[in-house]
Amino acid sequence: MTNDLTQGLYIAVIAIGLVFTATATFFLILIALRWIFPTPDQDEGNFGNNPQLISDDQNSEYEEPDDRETEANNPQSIPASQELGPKIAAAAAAIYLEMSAQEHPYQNKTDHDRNIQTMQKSSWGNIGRSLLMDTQGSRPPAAGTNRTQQNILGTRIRK
Amino acid sequence: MSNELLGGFPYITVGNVAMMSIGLGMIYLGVARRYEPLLLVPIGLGVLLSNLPATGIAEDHGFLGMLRKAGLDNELFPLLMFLGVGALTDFTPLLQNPSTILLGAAAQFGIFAALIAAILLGWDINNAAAIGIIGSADGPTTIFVATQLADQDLWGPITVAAYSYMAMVPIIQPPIMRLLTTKKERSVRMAYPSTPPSYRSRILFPLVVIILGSLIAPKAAPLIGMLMIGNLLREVGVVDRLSQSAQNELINVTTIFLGLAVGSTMTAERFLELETIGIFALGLFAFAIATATGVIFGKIMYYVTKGKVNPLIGAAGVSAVPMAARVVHRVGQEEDPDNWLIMHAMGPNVAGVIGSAIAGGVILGLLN
Repeated sequence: MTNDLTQGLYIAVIAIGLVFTATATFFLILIALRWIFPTPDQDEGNFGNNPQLISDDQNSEYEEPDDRETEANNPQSIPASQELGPKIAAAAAAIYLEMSAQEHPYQNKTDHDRNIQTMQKSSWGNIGRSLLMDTQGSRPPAAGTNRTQQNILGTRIRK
Repeated sequence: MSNELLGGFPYITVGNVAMMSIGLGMIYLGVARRYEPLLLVPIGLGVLLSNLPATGIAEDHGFLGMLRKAGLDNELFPLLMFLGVGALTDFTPLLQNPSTILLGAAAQFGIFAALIAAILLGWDINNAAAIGIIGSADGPTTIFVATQLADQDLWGPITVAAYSYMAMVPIIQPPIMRLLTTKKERSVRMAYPSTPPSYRSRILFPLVVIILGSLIAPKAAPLIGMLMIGNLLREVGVVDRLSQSAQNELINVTTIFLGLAVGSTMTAERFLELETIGIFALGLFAFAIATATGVIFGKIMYYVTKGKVNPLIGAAGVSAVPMAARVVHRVGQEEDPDNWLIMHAMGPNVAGVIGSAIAGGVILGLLN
């Protein structure tokens, strides 16, 4: 055990020294990187907007339309800067709806609301489509069975 | 003949029942208590399956045995995990506040304190080092080192101890942090850096760490290499599909396989030993020392910078990402609810990942 203890102490001292040496070296490198590249690169902000930079698909044929060209061809088009606000608002609303749907999947009333709208139109075709969506194409319960199910209006009925 | 008709029932032992209970306990902790569920649930399932009698699942030709040989015996799974960890890690807080990288080194003292304690308790040096690495608070590093140094019987207890204590960081760390700091020190508000790091420095940093880290500690090259390759995939911005794969599919699949393989090493005859309790006790000791040395180094930085560094962030130097950083933030807010330490704590937190990889590599280099 004495040998192991001596070896253990040796390893501990050497290892902690090497760990500090390595991290101190990385510290100096970090300082050097900050000194050499003090500010974000000029082209960095364009990464999100340039599909050629973010795509790793060599066969991608997608080319983003040039805003200036679009505006020149269509005099009634709105400049990109003016369109940004509504786009951000729409994106935020869409993200909020998507997140609330994911957080409360069983409380999502969208299908239910759609069914009520369908009923208000009183179209048998729409009702049939709603039934299909509700049952996911499965066979409905047989008449006379004592099962509780939800009808297309969302109210619980007992057969 | 009659035994065959009774299936596995005649072969069940008290040890099997005890281990299946431990497996179910892990699943319970993961599911009900949310203690590292991504690891504890697959490990618990591996324990449960490998202790079912007469199935042969955990033997060399069983499917858990094959998983073990395919990814654990040759250290492949922890390295793939590290690739995913790298792709998930954002080094921006470290690049913005470089001095916090030293806290990542200070928190590695726990490894070596536990190593010495394990030797004093009678373990041989290889097993003691593998037990000590629990103090790195880093699952892949722990498994990587343990599978190379420790007896196979100890792989399971060491891995489970590491992940259990990582899950219990919010319980283990705060009392030590409060004990070693004053109210004034805990209330320090740190300044936020004004500019984000440049794109070039975010790309160059992992490349330099790969080269220099591997030169300083060659045995750490697989860990550091995979960590930084994952991070490079994330930062370059032109291989988004690869980065997403590393962050999601690859790490998820590896986590399942790794958990099951580790669980399969925890059979009754290997796990139900007195030394398992010793491993858990030493793991706790390693975590406590790592936290304490991190905070003490934080205090040194506090005095050196004349009160500009909150010493609590030193506790985030143990690499349990991001749990340790969250604990620092929470303890800081106990003194000052408007003090936002989370981003400052993320610097030493990700530095801890690098520090633990270096420490693991150095130990392997010195002992192999």
